[in-house]
Amino acid sequence: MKLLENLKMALDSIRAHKMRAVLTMLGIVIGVASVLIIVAIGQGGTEELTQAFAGAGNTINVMPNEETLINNNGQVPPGFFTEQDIRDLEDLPGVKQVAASSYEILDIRYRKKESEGAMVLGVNNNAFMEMDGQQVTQGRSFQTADFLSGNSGAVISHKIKEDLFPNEDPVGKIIRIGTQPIQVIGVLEEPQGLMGSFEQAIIYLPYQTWRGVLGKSQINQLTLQAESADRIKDVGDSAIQLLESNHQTKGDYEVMNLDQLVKGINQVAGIMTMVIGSIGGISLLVGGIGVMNIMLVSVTERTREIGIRMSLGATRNQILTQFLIESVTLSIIGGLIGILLGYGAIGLIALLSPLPAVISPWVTLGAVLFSALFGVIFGLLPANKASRMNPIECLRYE
Amino acid sequence: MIRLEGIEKTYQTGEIAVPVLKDISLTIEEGEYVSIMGPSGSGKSTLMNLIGCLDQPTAGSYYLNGKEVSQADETVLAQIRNQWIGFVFQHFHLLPRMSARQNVALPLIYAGFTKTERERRAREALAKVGLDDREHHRPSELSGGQQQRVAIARALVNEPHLLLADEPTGALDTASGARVLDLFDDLHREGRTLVVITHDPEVAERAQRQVVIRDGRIIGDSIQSRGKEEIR
Repeated sequence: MKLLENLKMALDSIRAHKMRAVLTMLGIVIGVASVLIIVAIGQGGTEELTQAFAGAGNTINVMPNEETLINNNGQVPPGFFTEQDIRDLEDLPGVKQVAASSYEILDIRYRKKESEGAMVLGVNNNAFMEMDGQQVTQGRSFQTADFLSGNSGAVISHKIKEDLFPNEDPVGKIIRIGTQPIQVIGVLEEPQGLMGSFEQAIIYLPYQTWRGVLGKSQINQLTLQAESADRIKDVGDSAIQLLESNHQTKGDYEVMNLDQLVKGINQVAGIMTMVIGSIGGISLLVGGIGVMNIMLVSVTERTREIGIRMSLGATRNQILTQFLIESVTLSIIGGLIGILLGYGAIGLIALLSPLPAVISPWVTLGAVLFSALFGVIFGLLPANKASRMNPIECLRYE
Repeated sequence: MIRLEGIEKTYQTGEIAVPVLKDISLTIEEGEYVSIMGPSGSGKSTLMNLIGCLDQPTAGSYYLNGKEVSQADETVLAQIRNQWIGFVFQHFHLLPRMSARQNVALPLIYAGFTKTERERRAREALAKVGLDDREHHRPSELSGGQQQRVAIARALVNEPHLLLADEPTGALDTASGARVLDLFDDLHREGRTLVVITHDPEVAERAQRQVVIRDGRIIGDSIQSRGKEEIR
């Protein structure tokens, strides 16, 4: 007997017991939908987290090694990075740009309002903001003259604007870093996505201006941007070599390879997704058992039908196939509804929360195959029971 | 056509073996219309199940169309039921969710016919029993007599060698029963082989040959008694 024939028969039989079919499918529907939603949120979260940590891309942080940090009370020692280092690093092959920064944590004030514990960053070019993928939305960003002059204005993060200028345009206003006045020339956009929820109060100053305002000279942090992701390791290694030869030391400089960090994040998020996903998998399992249960009831209820079909010449295999296809059909329909439901929920989540949800075609395909597999596994027992019935007893069954 | 030789059937209920058929030998030729009559418990249903290849004997041989089927496997038996035998049951045994035509076409699905061929044959079979105007009705929308005629159409649709009926009029009123028996007469005239199992002497009388069974043994066979009379 042909597959199409069996499929039609299965659909007829499912249609004959709509309510029961819907209730049976519910387990599979919920199982598939929850697996899809969990995986989508997990993957979306991982991507977001990765981007948040790795920046817009391919960045390498150069830092002192642990021993040096401990010996200097957690601070970068004076003279650890020099302006000469920055110039040399910029000439390294594979380096797109070098962002050097100095920072202090200070309170920022504007009239009566205060933004506490803001990070005051001195930067040598616009690279810092660009690496984070942030754009200036009000006013302007720094220009070459700003980096040279020593009395430039400041670019503030969205958080500081919120704190100090809830109802005003900050551009052109004078704010105070500690006691030093400085003019706001630009405002950065609001960070998007997951990182938006813990955005920082940051105020950017060109390095020369920073020196003037804070009255000291130091570079705390060096960040390199490689031209491409596959050059991260090369660039990191050669940057270390260069710094070591400039400063005549060995082992004082280390790179925090973001590549490793990203891998770590992916691993953790992957494990989380798997753990929560398997909880969804358990509900799928329960759904499958539901299918088996109903199919067993259905087999008992249709004992007479089985007897009639056998007396008319259905072989045991044909009866087996009939019931198996019925349970697979039930499971697949449930799976498809689950996918639709899952996609709907994922869309809704992406719309209503900062969590981005990524729909994976592989997970979707997996869900369909998995529900079909469940149909076979949990259909086998009832179908086998049906095919082993004695036609004479089936015909006598009331 | 049908040749039973020394057929025995014993059911095992726990420790006790219950013999139901004892040394049954019976030959039915092609084109014969035979009734098998007996009181309930006589073993006539068991005999019908054996003839219909729904069950297999404990001992003895059964030749159907010259083929020894008493030791055949389940798949072969299913094919034999499909191709060679048409069943008519007391309670019709139609599938309630299907239309009359779909019910009639059911054996053709297992015989592997295409959809158009199945529809054509099913319509022909329904016309033969006078129900061509009822092909889209469901069993619940038909009277008992009509349902039994649909069942007969289903039994005939695959052109079987043997029509096997178990109390075909048992659930019908007199008029509907008479109509079914008339149909059997027609089929007999066409040269089909019919075996009707019944406990009703009136139904048995319509057949050309009566076999009587009691306590698992054949105690009367009109062809033999006639034969004896002729010899005398």
